[in-house]
Amino acid sequence: MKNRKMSLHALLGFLVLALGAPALRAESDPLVLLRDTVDTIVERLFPDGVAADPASAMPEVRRLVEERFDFSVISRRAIGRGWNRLSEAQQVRYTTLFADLLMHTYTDRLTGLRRPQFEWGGVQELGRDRVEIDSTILYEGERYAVVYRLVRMGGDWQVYDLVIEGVSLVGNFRSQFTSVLDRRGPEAFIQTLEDRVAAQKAGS
Amino acid sequence: MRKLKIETLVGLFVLVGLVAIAYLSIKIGGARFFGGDHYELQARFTNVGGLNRGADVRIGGVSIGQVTEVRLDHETFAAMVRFRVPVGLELEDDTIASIRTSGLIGDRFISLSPGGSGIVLAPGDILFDTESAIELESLISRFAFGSVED
Repeated sequence: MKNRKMSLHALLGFLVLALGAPALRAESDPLVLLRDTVDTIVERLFPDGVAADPASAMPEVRRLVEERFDFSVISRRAIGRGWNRLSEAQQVRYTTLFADLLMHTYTDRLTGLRRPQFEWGGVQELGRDRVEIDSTILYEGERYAVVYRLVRMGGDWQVYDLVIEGVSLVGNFRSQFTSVLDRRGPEAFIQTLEDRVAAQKAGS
Repeated sequence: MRKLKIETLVGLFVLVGLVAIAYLSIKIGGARFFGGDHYELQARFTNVGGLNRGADVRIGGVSIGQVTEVRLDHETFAAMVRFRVPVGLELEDDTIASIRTSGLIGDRFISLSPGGSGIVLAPGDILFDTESAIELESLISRFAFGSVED
């Protein structure tokens, strides 16, 4: 059971990486662009169908992500109202740390996992410049429902949230961040993130 | 003359009775005729898990409003929920609305997690960032099927 749980975590971590990728061009179909981006990252992380050494692939994945993605969108959403409590310098530090946190969290857990299969569902338009894309991930006989939420900002499509089995990634981080911010204040919150990222780097 | 007086009194008595009944109905039913102190927002969910009209809307566990309508969108089969929040409570467009349960088998309510995008929602706006109800039954069945393979 523990192995299964770990696998699931790793899979979710992998999704987070995929989340980072698509700052998609405006004219194109968001589904096609999202699929291509996810495929590219999957190819990097699971060469020959197995994640043999994800840690070494990580710098390249990160480069791919940062070439096309603005982490400020998701990081700002993840902190919610707390954003206004941070000073400008703290906002910059927080954005970098949040990106680090997302990229590092599950790297080790991917090791040895097989490549998951993807099924893409339809694109639902939710009004102006906003779409939701349904997908299913098949991994070791299990199906996981994943919904990508995208918004068009300044001509580019950006993924701003992932809903995995009904749980929102941004919502999950927001409740944790709000709780730490309320209890300990902005500076201690940034310090907590720094410690967490440092521990992850040391561990990997 | 005397007959007229009695009839007037009876009329007044009936009128007072009617006003009292109307007052009670409004108080007990929670109906509001003047929307001055509240405004309405909408949220779109894939599954509301039996959320009902009159259910609480909470922020940080504090009840701030009520659900006024739950209906099915016949085109997308999404559940559209209309709810009321107090005027003066500014919610931004990245607010997340989640369907939660009070206690293990308690009532469903909507929990709002306020955002910080800087774009304030206007009355009637729709929240798309939602978390649908998580059904205990489906979690249990997933767990049960999963354990067969282990």
